[in-house]
Amino acid sequence: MTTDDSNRPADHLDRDQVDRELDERLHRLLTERAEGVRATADIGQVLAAADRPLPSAHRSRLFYVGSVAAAVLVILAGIGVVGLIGEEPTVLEQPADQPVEPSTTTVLTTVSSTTEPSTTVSSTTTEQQPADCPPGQLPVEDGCRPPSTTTTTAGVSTSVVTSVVTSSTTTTTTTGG
Amino acid sequence: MIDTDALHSDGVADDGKDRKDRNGRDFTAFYHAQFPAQLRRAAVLARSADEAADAVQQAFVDVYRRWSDLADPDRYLSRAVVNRCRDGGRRASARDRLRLRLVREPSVPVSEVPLADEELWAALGGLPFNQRAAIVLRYYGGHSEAEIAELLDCSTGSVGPWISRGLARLRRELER
Repeated sequence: MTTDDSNRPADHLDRDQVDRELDERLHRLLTERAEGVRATADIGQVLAAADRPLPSAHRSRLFYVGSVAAAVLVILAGIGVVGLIGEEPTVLEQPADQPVEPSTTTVLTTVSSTTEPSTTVSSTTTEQQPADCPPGQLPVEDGCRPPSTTTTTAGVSTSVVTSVVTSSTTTTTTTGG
Repeated sequence: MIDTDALHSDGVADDGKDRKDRNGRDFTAFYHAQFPAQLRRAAVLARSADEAADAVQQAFVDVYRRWSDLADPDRYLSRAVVNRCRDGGRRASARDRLRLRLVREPSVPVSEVPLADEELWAALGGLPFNQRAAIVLRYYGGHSEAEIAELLDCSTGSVGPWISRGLARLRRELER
């Protein structure tokens, strides 16, 4: 591989010359351009701008403060509602001269599986024992009664819920020919 | 229309003499000493005298707000001016720009001399900001690469390549 080195010094000199000319042009251009700018210093603008907030800034600040206050109020209101809900319910006492009827509570639970429909029903019945009988009444099995009155029997209701879940699987096989 | 006299009489200090930096200098003296040079350099960085005036004033606002805390206000101001010029004022918050416009009454009078070397000026304007700024700071400000790196907030090793690539591109543009 051969190269012609005879022109390299001349090229180098040309390049240096171009660089020097560009350097001079840049220096002159930038100096003339910069020195030609005239402006009157006005420190009042700077001080006023630094110290005086804009009306829009006031508005945004008020909006921010208002938003925070509203959020706090909402939180406090939520806490108040939760507190009311969480309070223990007031117990209403049964009138002393009335017999307490037995109450019945039924709990139904349904469990389903994908293979066979199944239903589970559980029922629990609780009979509340009568309170102490007022004077003049006799304690009986399901409450109190005066010596010569008719016994009231409470009924027990039972509900049954049946749930059926059916699953099916279809398999299709295609054979190409 | 904003009455600047009213602004000044409304609790705003008329000058910055009551503000001292850590070295005991007052802001007014600092402002008047720095403003002309900062404006000239900003004018060639931002390529617009109006943009330069905005950038310098906004940078002074930044300095004024931190005046009592700054250990080296000159350095902080120079970097602030370069940063403002970098984005052509876009980085300036709308609030600050609006403030300056509202209180600018009358506006800062800015004049520019007719440009002698339009071709080179146009080619310089086509360079990316970092290349152009590095060239301006070297050829106008006479700054070293380390100083340029500090002003542009970059590593010293980046400055040399920026200048070389910028000059090469200028040569190509001028040879066309």
